[in-house]
Amino acid sequence: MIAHAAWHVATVSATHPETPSARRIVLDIPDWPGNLAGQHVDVRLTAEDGYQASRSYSIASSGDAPSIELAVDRVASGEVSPYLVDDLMVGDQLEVRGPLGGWFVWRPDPAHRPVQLIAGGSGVVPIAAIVRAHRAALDVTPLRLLYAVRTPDDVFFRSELDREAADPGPTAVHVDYVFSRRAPDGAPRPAGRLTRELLGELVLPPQQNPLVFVCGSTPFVERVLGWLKELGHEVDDVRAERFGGA
Amino acid sequence: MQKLDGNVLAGPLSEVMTGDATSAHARCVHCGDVAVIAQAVVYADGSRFVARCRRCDSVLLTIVEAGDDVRLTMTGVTAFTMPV
Amino acid sequence: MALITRGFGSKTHGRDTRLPPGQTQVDDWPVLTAGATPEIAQEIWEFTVGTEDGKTVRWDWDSFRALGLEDFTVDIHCVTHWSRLGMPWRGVSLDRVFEHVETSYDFVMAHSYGGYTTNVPLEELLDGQAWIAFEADGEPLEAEHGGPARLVVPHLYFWKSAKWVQGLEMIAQDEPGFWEERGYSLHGDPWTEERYS
Ligand SMILES: Cc1cc2nc3c(=O)[nH]c(=O)nc-3n(C[C@H](O)[C@H](O)[C@H](O)COP(=O)(O)OP(=O)(O)OC[C@H]3O[C@@H](n4cnc5c(N)ncnc54)[C@H](O)[C@@H]3O)c2cc1C
Ligand SMILES: [Zn+2]
Repeated sequence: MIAHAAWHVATVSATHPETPSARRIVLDIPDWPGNLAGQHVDVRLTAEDGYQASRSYSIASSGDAPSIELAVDRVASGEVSPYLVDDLMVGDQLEVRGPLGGWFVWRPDPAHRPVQLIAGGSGVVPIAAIVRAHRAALDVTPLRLLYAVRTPDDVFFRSELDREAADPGPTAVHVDYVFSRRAPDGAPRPAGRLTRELLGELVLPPQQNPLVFVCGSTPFVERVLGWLKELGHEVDDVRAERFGGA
Repeated sequence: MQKLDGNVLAGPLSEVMTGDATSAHARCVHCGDVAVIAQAVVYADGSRFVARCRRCDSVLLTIVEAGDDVRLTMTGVTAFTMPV
Repeated sequence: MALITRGFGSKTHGRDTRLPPGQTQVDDWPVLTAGATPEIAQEIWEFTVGTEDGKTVRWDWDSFRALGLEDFTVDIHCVTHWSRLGMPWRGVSLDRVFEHVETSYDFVMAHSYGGYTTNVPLEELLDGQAWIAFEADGEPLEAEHGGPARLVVPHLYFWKSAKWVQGLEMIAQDEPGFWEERGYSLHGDPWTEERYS
């Protein structure tokens, strides 16, 4: 069951730097109906002269709590994201519409169908919600995450993903990084862009019938979708979410 | 103009339909492709959205949000079935 | 009445957020050139991409433009502290060019008629981030602005947008080009003010 979407007034209760260009923002929403992992909100900002702008942001958290966590990356020359990353302060209020979306969502799965998660840059936000929901439910559904990101400094949710990687237990998510610009010392491969070959090596093969979630900038998602098709994944086994950007 | 997909329509569609319309199935009247709305190709310009068929690129629906006013036209789809 | 969010809009619409730190908006287009202005006729103009296996992909004026001209509007930022916002251009996206190039190298040296060079990582030229431009402000590019064709990489300082571009050479490692050898940043991000090395 998906809660009905509506406009809510949200109050910023905490912020902290996520990466040099991104920020995590916690919003308190007293009448929030809860949300599923992978859903998003529309954030609406109104200026004093009545001018409005709204943008979609994925929710990194899930469950019934009356608060949600966002992680926003600054798009240079953007209208909304620089405000959210640089100017918004604890105590500020904004409007959010949600919870939104019912396609790009994951629920703990009694059938344990394997899941391949593929994230590019800030596209990891709804994917992190899935990783967290999987952990919170102590679900043993096999989850594998491929995270393409420029450098180690640009990794979102670093400590939580490290915890998954360090956990030998059956509920741990297997995490592979592809660093396009700079890889850390001891990385299994040098920095380089994601290729079809690498994708083939690092994602669950079609024979295992995985449900695949892909999220990131529009060019990233479209490149990955093309390769997944060539690797033999069925279109309808792949759920994609495009964040935009050229 | 941003190229996105049907997930972004969840908010605007929630103003005119109850339940999540982005996981509704719809058939493209031009080519017959059946897909969920979330799989459509969407071009967004502020709060104006044009959803196109992922297969033949013809227009499925358009939504314009202006303040509290939402205008939806669904000329390019048939057999719109909402999940319950 | 909608809820007003503190601080939103005061500098968000109209000005400022599109201007990187240390930049001033201009409405004209200043000319900065080191050395003489080459004059290249369309009949002899060509564009090449050289790769590691010694192959050179080559286009002439018509075949290159046939890759697909598109209009794009971008902000440009010169390291000498001026920016022009919302400037209209017409050219061929490097995505179209690289559809015809096989390479495993991650860096690019752009070469110009007249010998100018500049280095850019390949990743920063793809996905709609760079073009070979033939028109600006609705007119064919004048020679003083780099015509008949120049590279345009709007998210980097404008010295990376090589005038009179002749071709790209794929290179294994990042290497300094003309200005980079003379003390300018190897990368040149205006948002973090990567002006000098
Ligand atoms: C369903 C959905 C969920 C999203 N979730 C998140 C999230 O969790 N975190 C997050 O940081 N963003 C997310 N986004 C992207 C977000 O909605 C905005 O598009 C982004 O913050 C840029 O907004 P802006 O107002 O700053 O830029 P705009 O003023 O809208 O755009 C300025 C320029 O930047 C370019 N641009 C826009 N978006 C991007 C981008 N994503 N990457 C690169 N260039 C871009 C545009 O082409 C434009 O030229 C999501 C988008 C969608 C559709
Ligand atoms: Zn169709």
